[in-house]
Amino acid sequence: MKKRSNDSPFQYTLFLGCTVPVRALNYEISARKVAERLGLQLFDTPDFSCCGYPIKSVHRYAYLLMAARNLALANKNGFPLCTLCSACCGALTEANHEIQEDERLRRQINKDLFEWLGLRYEGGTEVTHLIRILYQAIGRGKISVQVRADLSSLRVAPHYGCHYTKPSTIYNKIEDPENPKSLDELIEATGAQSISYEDKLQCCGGGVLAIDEQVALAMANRKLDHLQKQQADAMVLLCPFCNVMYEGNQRKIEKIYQTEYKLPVLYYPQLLGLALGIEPEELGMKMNRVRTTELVKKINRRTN
Amino acid sequence: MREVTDLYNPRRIIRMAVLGLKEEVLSSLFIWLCSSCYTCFERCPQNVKIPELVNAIKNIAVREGYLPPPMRAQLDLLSSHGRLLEITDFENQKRKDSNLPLIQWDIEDVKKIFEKLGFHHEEKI
Repeated sequence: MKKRSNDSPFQYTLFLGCTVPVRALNYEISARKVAERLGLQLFDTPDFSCCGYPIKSVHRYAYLLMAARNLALANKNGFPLCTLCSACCGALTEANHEIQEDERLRRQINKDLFEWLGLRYEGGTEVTHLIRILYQAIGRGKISVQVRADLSSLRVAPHYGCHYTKPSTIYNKIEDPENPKSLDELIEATGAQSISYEDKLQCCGGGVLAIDEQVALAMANRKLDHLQKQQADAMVLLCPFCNVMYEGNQRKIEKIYQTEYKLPVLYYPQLLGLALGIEPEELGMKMNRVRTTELVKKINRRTN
Repeated sequence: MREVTDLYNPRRIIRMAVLGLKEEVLSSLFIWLCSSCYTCFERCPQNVKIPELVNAIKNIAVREGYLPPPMRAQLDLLSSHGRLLEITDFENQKRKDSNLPLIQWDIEDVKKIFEKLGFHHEEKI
């Protein structure tokens, strides 16, 4: 694939990973919708596999090879990779970092990639996350001027998750993981209030869901409990696995802990889409498992 | 993690490893309770890369034959298809109905990587 004409400075190859295209269609639909609205071009490549992250704990080199193969394929058209899943973002960024920094590893990986698959990867593919693109490349100013609906009555809790900012060494300390601001500021750019709450930076627990469900659910429950105390209208997040914990498992958590949260969980592009005046149906809101009807009612639609 | 379960204790894992309690560490479930949130990584005053250390211990445990069943299931899916979640006609129909591009389920290249690395489906590593 040749690099396409330079009609837009915002061109990226979309990396969907495993979870988003199967279990988080609302994230994908809303991401594509707001990207289109903001002049961001996302290209699809059918050959990508899993990023490699799930295999890291089992066989680190297998993970690096899987990631390197994806990075090599992405390198062919020269656009940066736009990830939607924070685990994909972290895994590909880390592999990229390792391959570029460690010459011995780079040689070994290239030997295997070439002998086995006829591919080479010496580095050069930029890896980023959709939220980072909205924050840095598009910018809050450009978002604010396009806001068409009044979200000012919404109390929204940002959930950053872990792999979007950590480990900060692989992200070249792009954002302070102890005091991240990008999601808060992006929420404010939509006109909604970004609220602060106890354990804001806490992990969702998703990393141990397969190993010990009770422990993982206990972690997710803590945050849902803190958000209820803050009377949040919604949680907004940027990773499909965090979503599995807070939205997908919310019913189960309510049963175990004999409580009721009914807390809507939105992907940031869904919130942004509502602010831009896009219809909820076009943002996949019907696929949200916790109903968002009350939340949508609180939004004032402007006619301009 | 520590706030919801006493089982997970990175200091204990490292101390046991230093003391040479190999079998006890490798066979324990608590090494798998590291969620890789990297909070300790960011805060360690001595820059000890604890998540990488725990990950290395997990890799050794797998090599020594201690692979927890949920991780086995993930390994099987990845080594035989290249993806973690199955994509059947049903999933692709759903994508088509939502005007999303279709997705490929079997990635031959990834199967080849696992074959070359000596992983064989349904066999002990």
